[in-house]
Amino acid sequence: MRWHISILLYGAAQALAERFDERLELTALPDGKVLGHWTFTTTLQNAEPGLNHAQHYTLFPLGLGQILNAHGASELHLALNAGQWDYKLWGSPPEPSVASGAELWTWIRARNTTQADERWVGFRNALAGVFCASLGSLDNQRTTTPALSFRPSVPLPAGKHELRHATLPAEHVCTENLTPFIKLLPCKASAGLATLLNPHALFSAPFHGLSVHYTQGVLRLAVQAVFTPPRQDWSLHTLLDRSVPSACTVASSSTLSIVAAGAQLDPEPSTDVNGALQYDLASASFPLEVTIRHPVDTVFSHRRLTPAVSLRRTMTGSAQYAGGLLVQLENARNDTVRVSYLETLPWFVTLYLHTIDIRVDEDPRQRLDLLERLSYVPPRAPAPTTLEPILRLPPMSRVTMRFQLERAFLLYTQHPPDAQRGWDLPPAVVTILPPSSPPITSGPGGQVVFALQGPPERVYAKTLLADLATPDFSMPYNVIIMSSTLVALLFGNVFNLMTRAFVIVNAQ
Amino acid sequence: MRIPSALWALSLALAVAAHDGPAASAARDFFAPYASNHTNNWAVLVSSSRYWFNYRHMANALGMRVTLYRTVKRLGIPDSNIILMLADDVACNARNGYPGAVYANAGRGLDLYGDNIEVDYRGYEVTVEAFIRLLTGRVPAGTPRSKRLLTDDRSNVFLYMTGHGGNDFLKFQDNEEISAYDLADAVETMWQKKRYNELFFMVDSCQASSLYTKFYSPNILATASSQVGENSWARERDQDIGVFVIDHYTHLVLEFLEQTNKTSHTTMNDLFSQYDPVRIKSNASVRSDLFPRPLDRTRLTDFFGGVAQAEVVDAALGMGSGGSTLSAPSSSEDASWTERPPVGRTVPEEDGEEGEVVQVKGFTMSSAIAGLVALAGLAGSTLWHP
Repeated sequence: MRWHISILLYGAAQALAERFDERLELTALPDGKVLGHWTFTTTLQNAEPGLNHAQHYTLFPLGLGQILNAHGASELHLALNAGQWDYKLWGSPPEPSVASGAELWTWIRARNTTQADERWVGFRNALAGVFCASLGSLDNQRTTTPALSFRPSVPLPAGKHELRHATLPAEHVCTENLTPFIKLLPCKASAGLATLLNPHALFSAPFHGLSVHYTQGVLRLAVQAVFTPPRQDWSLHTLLDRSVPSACTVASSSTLSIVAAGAQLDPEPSTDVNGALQYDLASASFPLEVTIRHPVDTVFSHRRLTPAVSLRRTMTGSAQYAGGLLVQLENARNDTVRVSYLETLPWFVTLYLHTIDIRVDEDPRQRLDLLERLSYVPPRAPAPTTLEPILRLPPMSRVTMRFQLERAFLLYTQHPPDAQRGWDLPPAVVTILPPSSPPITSGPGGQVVFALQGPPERVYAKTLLADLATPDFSMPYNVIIMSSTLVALLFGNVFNLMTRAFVIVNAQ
Repeated sequence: MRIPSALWALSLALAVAAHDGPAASAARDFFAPYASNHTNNWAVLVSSSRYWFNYRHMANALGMRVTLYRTVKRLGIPDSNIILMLADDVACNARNGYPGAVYANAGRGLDLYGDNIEVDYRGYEVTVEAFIRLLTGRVPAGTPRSKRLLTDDRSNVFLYMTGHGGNDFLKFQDNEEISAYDLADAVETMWQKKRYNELFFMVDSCQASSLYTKFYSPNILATASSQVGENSWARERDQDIGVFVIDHYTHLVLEFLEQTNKTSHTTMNDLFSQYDPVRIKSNASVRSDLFPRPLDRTRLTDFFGGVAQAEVVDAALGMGSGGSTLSAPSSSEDASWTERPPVGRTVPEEDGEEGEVVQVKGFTMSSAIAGLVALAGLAGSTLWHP
């Protein structure tokens, strides 16, 4: 069979060089849980920017390639997560987008805003069809264009680009999202590391998420999940209820990496890279079944890096018109950290910018000097608020930012079917910026350009639930019934009085 | 009048062929007066209830899907021809003690969700408007292919609905209803637009038969789980899931369909004769006055089976740049499938017609509310929509 594969790859090499790599990293976490991070990377080598080539793909999924091409998306990031990522215990997530629900952001190539909006509609609907997610609902009520966060990870191809970012915090993730995700892989769920993606195990995990990233010819599909192993000694079978039946033959590299200090692995791993014990699936024996044993009850020593800044956000105040937003940013480092804080609130939660209040630790003074720069798009129904201050956090301090806000009273037709639940507010995102030098400059066209090495780190807050006053939904029915009854009684009596002749009838 | 010799030869050949064995009888069967003349099968499965305690409605729809879809050995309508609408997520609901799994019997025998499922309309997207637009084809521009009902005039459509219902209505998402009149008009629109050959309508809800009484388009066969004035009952609950997991009527239908496969000749009459008011605690009924064929000659597979036209070709098909269609088999035939004709920009999909949802007759609550809203002069953009 191998010579058939080499002919296939040769045929592919005539059109485009493609490369598929897969990797699974299982890391033991301090609280006994296991972090699983699958990465499936399909690289189009020698690809012209913007996918302007004839799409003769062998490994790259044609459906996704056609969608990206048709809607001019130069960069795509889609994440579907469920659960809460615990930054303190589990450290920085391997995939930074850990917002609960759906998050979609993309840089779209377009001549002007109108064309960008049209392409955005088509793009999110096409993705909704591919991933069986309600991404078509990411309309102008949920879409923002942040000016400072979500910069392109790699330089964009030539042409004007616009950013579109939208979240759907109440979105569920389930097997119907995983099915088309796996169908984008060359070996699907029959060979390689994708066979370990057992939906029953994955969706019981306290945190699980799928993400799709496309940048400049590289498509990266990632799954990250934090599993609870049944016992301290676990295996692929007890953790995921699966084992790898065979290797994916089209994968250039297929690695299973286990990071667990003081553990004994069976079978023996092929290599040891900085404490990560790795198996190369090309040379492993199948079915691959890995068992981890902790012979000695060791004190857990391995700890993942936590982000420099931790974020906590809450809504204060229970009244409809006297609410507040409280944001706490804690800087645990010994030097000043610059962060960009992105807050997008739906149109019915009105934030009052003039009530901004920034304090440090217990100091009662206002510290507006910590506010370097502010980008603010006020809400205009249906467009949401976009608030992006850049703050300078002093070393080893907690900066508290407060705003006053007001919740609107919605019309009864503006409420969702389960109105009593409330509205999910999109999570706030803190982007940790590099230190002051090099400074922020303005690129051509007035875009803000940061000189960065690699994508900056992002920290997400929890989604909040805004409780808006709900009307009595049965009232329209009640009013119609009541008034119809009254009108009928009134009309009936008046009609009878006016048209009937009342005569006295002899009783016999 | 001289009859051409070719015609003589043909009739002679047919006469000869008619005396052959099973092949001839199969050919005769094909041209039989009551055979269905459809070329493809579609199914629309709708579970219209929200919230965890309506688990059984999701299980109803998923059970139907599993019966339709499960392996080619069984009935075989592919997922691409099934539109599945689930108004709430029960498989990955926080209350589900078995994440990723939906069961339809106490004791949790068969997982209906499985590893390979595509839900086309989920959660808030399942609305009356979306459903009627799906049926009539007037979907908004940009609707992906998996969310369109791409039927034609030779499609046999199986429409299954389950949820809470009442006299002349079915409840969607616990806050709006579709009335039987709306449904009848939507199906008439389908008929006028030649979007179905025959329609089989099945509904499992309380007072379900009222939903089919308003149909007036031809070629509709309808069946329902209960009469006006009576409820349809849930069957059993699982102690660990904690809610009812299936309804009596759907369980009866699914159990009966277990016995059929792609080649069975089971008729609709066989299914309808299984209806037992004592067993399912409600009087299930059938409406066949709009259906042209007799029910004892109408096969279940006309609606529940996927029609697959398979043509066995001996030679290898090469799709080289020369444009030749058939070429002699060569040792590099595996390589030929990688060369495809160059694909430039994708052809933009045909936009669905976005127009008013036509209501030919009938006055409904939803239209009353729409009227009130229009009177209030509101811009529609801030109204809640999924």
